Amino acid sequence: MTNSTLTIPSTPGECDQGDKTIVELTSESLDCAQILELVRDPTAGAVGTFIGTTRNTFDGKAVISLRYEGYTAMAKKHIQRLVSQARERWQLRHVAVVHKLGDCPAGEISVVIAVSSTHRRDALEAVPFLIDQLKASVPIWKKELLEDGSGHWKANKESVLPQ
Amino acid sequence: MHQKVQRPAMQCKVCYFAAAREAVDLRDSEVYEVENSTTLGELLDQCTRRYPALKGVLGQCLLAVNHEYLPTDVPWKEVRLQNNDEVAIIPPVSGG
Repeated sequence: MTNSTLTIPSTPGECDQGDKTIVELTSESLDCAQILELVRDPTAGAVGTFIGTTRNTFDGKAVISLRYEGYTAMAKKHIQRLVSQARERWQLRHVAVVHKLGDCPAGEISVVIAVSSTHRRDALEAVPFLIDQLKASVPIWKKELLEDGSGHWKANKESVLPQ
Repeated sequence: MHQKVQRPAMQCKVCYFAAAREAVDLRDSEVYEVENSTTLGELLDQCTRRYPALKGVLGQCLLAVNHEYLPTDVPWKEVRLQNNDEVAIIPPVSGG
């Protein structure tokens, strides 16, 4: 597969029958169509997706941008592990989890999860599992930059906290 | 004869992110020279001595050693570090 904007290596050897797992953190804009093509497969009757987008308001205040940073090596390792857990629970073909780092202005895409499966239920159920777990534990952070010039580190309500 | 045994030094890397990175003047990471069998608690004491602002952030953070979260019920002073360990200070995550 060729693409001009984003080089997404697949991780071979994790699954049988050529099932692909693609996990990437990138400072480039996310191209949904391109990521969907990475998981589409003639043997898969369904593709389930989640597309996270920077909302333009928070608590009534105008949001200019979200600035993301990640602990890349650990984040990729933990996303890979979540995909493995999803594969134990559901029959999946290809899985792509791609997260933006750096600035993500309002309206732009911050994360794309795309999962293909032979039957639709597997893909549709794996997607919320993956995004919920990602938000709870994967070391990625965002700072919300508001129109009034202030900036705030966000914390997901799902995030695991010290006791 | 009281000859002090010199414990060989080891190196541990500390990585800072988000609010923790801002508390250490935007450094991504630093290598600390520590004595052998230093604990995580001792290493973090060194960090907060160098950056007092980190103290306020640390209470909300999880720690990871070599890309694995430390379970929240393990006291930092009981974790012995090894040479070349990579410790990360992980504020509440907000990916997605």
